[in-house]
Amino acid sequence: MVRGHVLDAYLRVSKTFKWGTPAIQYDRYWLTRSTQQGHTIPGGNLLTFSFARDFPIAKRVSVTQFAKAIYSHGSVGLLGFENGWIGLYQPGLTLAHSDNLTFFVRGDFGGGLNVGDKPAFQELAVGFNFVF
Amino acid sequence: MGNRKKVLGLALLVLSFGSAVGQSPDASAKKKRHHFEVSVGSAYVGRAIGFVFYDKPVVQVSLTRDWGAGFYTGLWQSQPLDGSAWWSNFGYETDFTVGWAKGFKGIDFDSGSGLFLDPQ
Repeated sequence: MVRGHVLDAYLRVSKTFKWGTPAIQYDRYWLTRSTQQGHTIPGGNLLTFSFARDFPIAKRVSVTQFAKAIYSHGSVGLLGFENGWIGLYQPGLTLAHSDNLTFFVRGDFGGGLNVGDKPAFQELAVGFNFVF
Repeated sequence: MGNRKKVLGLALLVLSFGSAVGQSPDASAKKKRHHFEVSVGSAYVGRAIGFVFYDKPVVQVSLTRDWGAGFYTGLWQSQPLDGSAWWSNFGYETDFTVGWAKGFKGIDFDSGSGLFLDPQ
């Protein structure tokens, strides 16, 4: 394999409706893309239903839960398919070492709900983030 | 596969930044403008799009910078941990992004450009 590239310019306009932890977000994407194969102008609409909630179980330790379902309509390549659903459930555990440093363990479980070439996926990740 | 990979990679990055933007960096505590993250995962999964780019362990590093007034830059790198040859599979990827994001009257705008390097 050789190294390839994609050069994009994008504009996203979105509106979010929240009711506590549940939220619905609408996104409209416009995109221009340049690759070795040529230039295309994809774009699309996304509707995301999400639910996020943290449960503190000790000082600086929280169980996190995040779930979302994305419906893509006429994405013309933005998500690699058109008119389909993707679901994701993401449980996790965070340890806030300080205001700047947080360690996390996270699972990702999901898949395409009506898209034939999107098999179910799962992943376990550990890591940290640092803000400064 | 190469084209699909690019498309999905782009979507992931755009959506990732979209989430970050949605957190309103201007309102973040004490004006912390850098976000650095390192993770080791059992696979490289495009969480936002339901696609497995690489099904073996990877390390992924990101650094984003909020420059103020809505401007941001980002660097994201993925690398396999299985000792595979340099740039030989889709566990490898490097992304650069620069953009501007702002909200007006409840509507969020995010515009920018990304350069995504991956195997072909």
